[in-house]
Amino acid sequence: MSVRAGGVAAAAVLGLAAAFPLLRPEIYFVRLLAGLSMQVALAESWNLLGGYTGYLSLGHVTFFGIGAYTSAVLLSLHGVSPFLTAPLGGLLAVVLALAIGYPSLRLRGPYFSVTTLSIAFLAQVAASNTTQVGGGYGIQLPSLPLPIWQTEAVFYWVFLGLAVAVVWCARRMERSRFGLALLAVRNDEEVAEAFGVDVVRAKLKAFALSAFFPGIVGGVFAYQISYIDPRSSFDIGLSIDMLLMAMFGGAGTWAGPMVGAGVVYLLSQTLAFVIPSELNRVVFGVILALVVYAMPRGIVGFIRGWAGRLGAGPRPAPAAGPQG
Amino acid sequence: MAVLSPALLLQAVVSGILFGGVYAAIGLGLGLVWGVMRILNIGHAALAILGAYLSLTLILRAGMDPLLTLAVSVPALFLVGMGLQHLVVRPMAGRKDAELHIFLILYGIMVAVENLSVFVWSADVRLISAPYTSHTLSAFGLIVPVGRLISFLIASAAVAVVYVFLRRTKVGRAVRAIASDREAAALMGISVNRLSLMAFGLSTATAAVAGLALGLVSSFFPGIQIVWISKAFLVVVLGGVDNVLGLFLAALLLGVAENVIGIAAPAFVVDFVAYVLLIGTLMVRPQGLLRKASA
Repeated sequence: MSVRAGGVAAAAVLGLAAAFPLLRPEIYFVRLLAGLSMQVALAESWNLLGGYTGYLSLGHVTFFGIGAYTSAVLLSLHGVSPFLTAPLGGLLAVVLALAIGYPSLRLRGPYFSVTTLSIAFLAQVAASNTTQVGGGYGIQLPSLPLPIWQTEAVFYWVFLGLAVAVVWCARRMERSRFGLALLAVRNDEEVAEAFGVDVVRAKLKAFALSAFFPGIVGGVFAYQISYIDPRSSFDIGLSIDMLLMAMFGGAGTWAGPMVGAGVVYLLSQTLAFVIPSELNRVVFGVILALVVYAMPRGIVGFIRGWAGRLGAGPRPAPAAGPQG
Repeated sequence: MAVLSPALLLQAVVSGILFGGVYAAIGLGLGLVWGVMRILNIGHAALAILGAYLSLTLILRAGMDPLLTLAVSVPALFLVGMGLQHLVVRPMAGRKDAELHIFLILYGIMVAVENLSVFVWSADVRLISAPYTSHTLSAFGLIVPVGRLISFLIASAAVAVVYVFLRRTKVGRAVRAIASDREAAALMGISVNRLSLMAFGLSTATAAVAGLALGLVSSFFPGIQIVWISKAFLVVVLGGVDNVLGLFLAALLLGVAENVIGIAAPAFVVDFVAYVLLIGTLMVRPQGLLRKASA
């Protein structure tokens, strides 16, 4: 598919997606697809750091929670709409990411993951015990002053817009000098450094970008559900979902998290009708293990590798190749 | 706020030491696979909680004595560990991102084990007890519940067994040789695969002991594993990877610190301090970990 044809197809799909609520479908489906857009935005955000640099964050929910709390507090205390304050939540998330990232991005592999996981706990403990933000009870928020149907449509469009923004950002990044620098970092930091990549700066920039969008998404989400508490805002499960969706679709590719979020989210929503929720999570744990085991480059990586083997001509060796 | 009398302080220190045994028992197995195989088994505490549920079930259903349940849970978890090594860790060897992939798979298994435990045993809060565990001993004005004492003794026994195994037996020395240099050990004729199986099995077997020790002194439910794994990381990071005595000392210190802080401050401050300590140690002293990792 040529770039131009791809662009036309993408525009057509987006147009259809944007028009969807106007067809007056069941509210359930509007809500379902708004949720899908949110998951795409989150998984793709995670991918900006985890996929392109190989630093796997298990604490990305922290940024989501910061955004949720920022917008919730500003709405409940000062009456400012989260649609205006969500970017502020994103900026706070960036500040936090820089503060965490500066010391912790030196830690390779699992140590970084454990650090980010601990920070998510710390944030949850802190929110649960800060009475100014409702402590363990959380914050009740007024809902959007619109009829329910329009409310759902508005959130649908906002989440769709956010998803498109993050995916666009990832796609642009992938083809930029910055994206190449990150890939160099992922392959070998010392070699990247030797070739003139400012490794520390590149990693911090990726972390900041990767934290910015979840901060915004959190603020919008808080408004959508009209109630936040420390448990749901700093839910470790959400961190796992981001990682799982990105890995499943193909971490380190802009299309991967989109595909992964689609499969994983729709599967989990369907399973929710069939089996109890704890078994649902068992299935997800097992799927994560199996994906990493059998398909470490995800669906998109798998298909690219497969297409590459079919096509003639030299292609770069797959990342999971036997060398090294 | 309570008045900080010497008696109260002494009681807190003693309680802290006894409670620290659980941290030692959990950290022990985590440190073992970390040191020997460079694997961070994030599911270790989920397996310890699984061990606690196995013990609880045997006590409630079969009327077994808590200590006797170890005869079942220790071998069962030994097999689980060997299975993990054989099915997860070994097939990954040679992959470019082996370390991360193994970590992610173990993470997936952790999520599965935790939620399977919810499914089987529910998310209700449980405690392991026997008729005698609620008795108390008192001496010098100190009060010590029997359950706590037993918990500390079995945890310390696990630490002692692993220590003696690693230091005094031929097989244990071979395991340490793998920890210090895998390739050299293989060249010296040590069967790295067979000993890795054993080390992973031993690690998860100690999780069974840790589970019982934990259940005797602290209420538990499947989701609490994530708190215990972070405490286990803390004692391993503080005590030093594959340094059993250092780890034991760090665990007791953590127990004491938590109990002493707990006199004056609400419970969440204790957790807060523990997480800050963990994050701070990871960030400020990564060379404590990396020195071992690059050896």
